[in-house]
Amino acid sequence: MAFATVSDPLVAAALWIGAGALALSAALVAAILLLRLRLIVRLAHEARFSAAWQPLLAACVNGVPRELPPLDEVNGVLFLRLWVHAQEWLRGESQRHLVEFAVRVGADRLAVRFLGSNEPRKELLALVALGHLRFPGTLPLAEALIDVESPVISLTAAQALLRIDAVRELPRVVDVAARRADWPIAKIAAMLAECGPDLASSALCAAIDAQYGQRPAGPALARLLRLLRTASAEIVRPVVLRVFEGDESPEAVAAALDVLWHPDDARLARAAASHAQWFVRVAAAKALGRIGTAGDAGLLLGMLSDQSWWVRYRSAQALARLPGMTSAELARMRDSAGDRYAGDMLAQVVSEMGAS
Amino acid sequence: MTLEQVLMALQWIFLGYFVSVNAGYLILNLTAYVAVQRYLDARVLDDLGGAYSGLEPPVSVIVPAYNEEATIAASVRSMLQLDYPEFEVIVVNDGSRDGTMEALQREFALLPFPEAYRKQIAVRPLRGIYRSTRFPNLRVIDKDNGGKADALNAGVNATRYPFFCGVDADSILERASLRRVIGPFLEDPSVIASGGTVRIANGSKVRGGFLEAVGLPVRALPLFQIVEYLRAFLFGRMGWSPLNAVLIISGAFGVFRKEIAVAAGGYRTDTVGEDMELVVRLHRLHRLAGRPYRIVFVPDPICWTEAPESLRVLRSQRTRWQRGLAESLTLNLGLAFSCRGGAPGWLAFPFMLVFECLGPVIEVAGYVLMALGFAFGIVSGAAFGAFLLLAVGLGIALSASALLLEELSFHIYKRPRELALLACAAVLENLGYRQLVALWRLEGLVKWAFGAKARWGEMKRTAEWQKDA
Repeated sequence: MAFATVSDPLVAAALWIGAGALALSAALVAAILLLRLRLIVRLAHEARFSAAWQPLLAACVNGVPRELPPLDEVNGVLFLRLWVHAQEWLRGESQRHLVEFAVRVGADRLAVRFLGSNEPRKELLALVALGHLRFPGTLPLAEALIDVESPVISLTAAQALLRIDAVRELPRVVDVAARRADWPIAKIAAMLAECGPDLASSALCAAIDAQYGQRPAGPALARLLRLLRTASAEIVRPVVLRVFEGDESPEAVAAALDVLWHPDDARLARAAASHAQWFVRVAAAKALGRIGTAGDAGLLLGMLSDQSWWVRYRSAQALARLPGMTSAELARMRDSAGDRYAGDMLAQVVSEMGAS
Repeated sequence: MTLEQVLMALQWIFLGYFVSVNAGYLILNLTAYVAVQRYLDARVLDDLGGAYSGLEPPVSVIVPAYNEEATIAASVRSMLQLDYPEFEVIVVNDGSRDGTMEALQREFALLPFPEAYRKQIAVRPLRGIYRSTRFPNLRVIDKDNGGKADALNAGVNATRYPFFCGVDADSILERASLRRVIGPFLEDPSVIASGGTVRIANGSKVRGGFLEAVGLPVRALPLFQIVEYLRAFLFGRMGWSPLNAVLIISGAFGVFRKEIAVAAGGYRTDTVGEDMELVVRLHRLHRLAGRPYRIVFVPDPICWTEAPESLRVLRSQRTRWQRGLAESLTLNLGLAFSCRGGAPGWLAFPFMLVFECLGPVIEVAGYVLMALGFAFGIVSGAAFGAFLLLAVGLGIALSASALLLEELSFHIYKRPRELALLACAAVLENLGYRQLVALWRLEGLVKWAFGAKARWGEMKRTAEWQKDA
């Protein structure tokens, strides 16, 4: 019978690996302790730094303090975080004082250096800071980052560009936004809203017009149309109406229906009520709820028998919103509905109206 | 082949297994480290007014409940206070035999609601749908008992919003949990599911259904589970996320794009691991169809749960989890090594099958055979000692590396005493506890093989922390 001893290769291997694992564990525990020590020291330093600089930044409400301590580069991240926070909190003249403050301590040069650091944390902070500083000379630095692969960095670069010079940079940002599917629509909409509806409207109209020039129009058209909620409805109306003249994608038609606002355009929603795609019919029902007339009740009643639950639901809600519609009238429609699905949906919406 | 040769071969197999499983975890650990650092870097701007504030898509939170009379009201109240712009809470009472439904009626002033219920996924008959007169975004579905998966499906059918979040009725959430877990959907339109990290709340202070202060339990059993959860979530899942190969999103807290989950058929009702099975199925369907998609994992500690404090309940939980794992993998074997399988099919699935699913067989066999061999004088003391040193040493190294990752990233256990306690637990859990869990997992595997009936995992909640709520 074999009787393995320490000299056997198998046992020796197990011993060495086991001992190695224990040694590694000890090293890991030591590393954890060192990290904890470093954390305690770092937090204490951050607390001291904040205690020293935060009152100075807060004083910018009244003007830039006469005496400012020197800022070390090692504290650059800490300072920029505090400074950016102050920029987000303060308004008007105070923000200009903060810019002067940053220049006096050299934070503007620090931010520029951070942009080339290749550390995402520093790059992001630097981009936000440059956006608040609004120095035209830094535009090329942010422009260079708008096309990088990372959506977080490219979006933050776009935001910085718009803050520095929205008039000049908006067309560029909208153009990139149309192409980049990884830029969330919600985020772009928030950035455009910061620029104001008039500026956003003209940039979006130009970009949408350019899309109409391409045949067939790609998904970029639908993306741009979805951004029109941030624009001035009156200005963008002509480019929205063009969607219904051509043979655009169902996504584009649905996006256009979502921004219809003029009562004269209700006819377009009526025409889309029988579209082959359910999401277009949903958008049509919602549009009729916004701009439809009492005369649309018959059409919406018919849509209550649609095979899609969402079309039925939005149609019932649209019916409830039509001018002159009352709960009693809806209840009468519910009771007289020949279709069970229509009756169920009206019952639900009547109940929801009662709950709200 | 002689007994001697068989024994020698087995020893090599055990050695090979223990080394390869731990090497695999070590690689996952390194991947997780890089992924967590990237995640934290990208979050540098999070406290600057919230990059997506007010722009998040609406979410339906589904809370399946079965015999949760004691805790359901507090849980739902806390979910209604989530920090999120627009969401609805749908509680599904799955034919509870206790006073769950009455507790909901009492607390939330429910009224019957004539909902045009949309049966996209087949479910057991509904008894009624109610809406709260106090909270307009709360509805309750009362239905015949059909299991957790059936309850979740009933909730999915009733959702109004494009995303749904399955939450266990006993989960304790961070206020920002929904905001955190929905983040990946905003960053990348191809994301179809996102899961969050679950941590253990035993020993922590909870008020009004929310975690107020993190703490550690006094008892060893939940303490060991804290180390286990650190390993499972921080690198067991975060390590797979950059490869788009996360196979598990915990049922305690996970968000799905509704149309995708419905198109896949919803949760399967014939498995106890419905959460994992759905995720593996989504991988399989998307991979085989060649559709671009991402399933991601959020490392922030956003959901807390009560860990079992008794061996009996822990055993029941672990056998059920192992069965769920085996079912999820065998129901989706088509993913393994398929030509379009990618990282989930070629790496994560085989890893889970060999190390997580079949692992307990080799692990328990290794311990038992070596112990028997030693007892009968076939294996020398040196060989037996070396084997134990190897198994325990590698286990401690892995637990310590999970602690290191936690310290590098979130360091939520602030006090030095807590850190010392966790370090002790990382060592001690390898001296008996881990072997016991391996035995229970083997039991789960055997039960799965012999087709024992699946049912809701019942756990007697102590919910000590809620007493001062």
